[in-house]
Amino acid sequence: MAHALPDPDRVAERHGAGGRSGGSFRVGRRGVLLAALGAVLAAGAGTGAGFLRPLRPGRPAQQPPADLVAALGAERALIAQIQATLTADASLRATLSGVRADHEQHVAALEVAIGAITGKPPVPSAAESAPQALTRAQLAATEGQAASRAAARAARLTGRDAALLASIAACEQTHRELLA
Amino acid sequence: MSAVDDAWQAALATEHEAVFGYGVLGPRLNSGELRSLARACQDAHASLRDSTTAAMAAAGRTPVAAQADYPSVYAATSAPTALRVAVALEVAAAAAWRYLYAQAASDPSRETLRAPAQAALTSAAVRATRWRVGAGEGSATVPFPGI
Repeated sequence: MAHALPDPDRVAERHGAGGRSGGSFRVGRRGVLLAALGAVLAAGAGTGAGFLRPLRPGRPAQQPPADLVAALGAERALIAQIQATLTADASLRATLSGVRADHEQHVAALEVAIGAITGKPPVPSAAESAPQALTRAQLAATEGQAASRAAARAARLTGRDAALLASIAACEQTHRELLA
Repeated sequence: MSAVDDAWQAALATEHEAVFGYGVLGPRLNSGELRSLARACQDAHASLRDSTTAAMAAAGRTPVAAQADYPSVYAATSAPTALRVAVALEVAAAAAWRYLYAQAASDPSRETLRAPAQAALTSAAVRATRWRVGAGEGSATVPFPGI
């Protein structure tokens, strides 16, 4: 029987800009944040002098690009989806733990990128409803869709934000490969 | 030459190396399935090398030529080391294409390079994952391919 896959963007909207899904971290939060900061900095490597602009202290706060905020919501929704699947099917733990850890790194990197623009970390908001567990094949399809959306968002952004999302899109396609 | 052109040439250079590298490591692999994967990867890199070369020529650039030899790929002396070299080739390709993406994303006049750079980055990341799975690595994916 065919199952309708949840639209990650719609799930992301339900999650708003926030709502860590309660998944346990494979590495410490501090480690994730440090890695994320490194990823954000590396994503901007070679993108010109403008790359350092948002990190300059004293700069007035700005609105982050909508695509960056949407990407953060989508990542949080994916984590919630994976967590729900893990809870329902422990046999997927070995595979999905690494996938979830990757998404946690994405969330942390996007929080750093958005925080560098706004001057403060994004405020999480509570999820409206719990996502349903998916099959392995459904998760693979969801990751593939997420990869396409991340690449499209990257194409609408510029500089290091674009490069960061381009890399996240590639990662999500590797998840699809791993789960297929 | 602009920074974008430098990055484009560097990406092409990694494709030359990957094509050469798979020719060296492929015979070291110990299963028909992995050797088939190596051939498929080599074909994919050769195709990307050719399309990139053609795109550069069409843009009036002189594509970088392949080197006569790539000593680093001779680290593939056994099946396990061949797997590691395969992962390294794909990681290098992902990094080069992501760098081109970053450069093109900062230069509106080179916008058209972003789509092929994204596609190449993603393909290299997926191939690296296949090789990590083949090598039995505990973690087959990385959160930020190319970074």
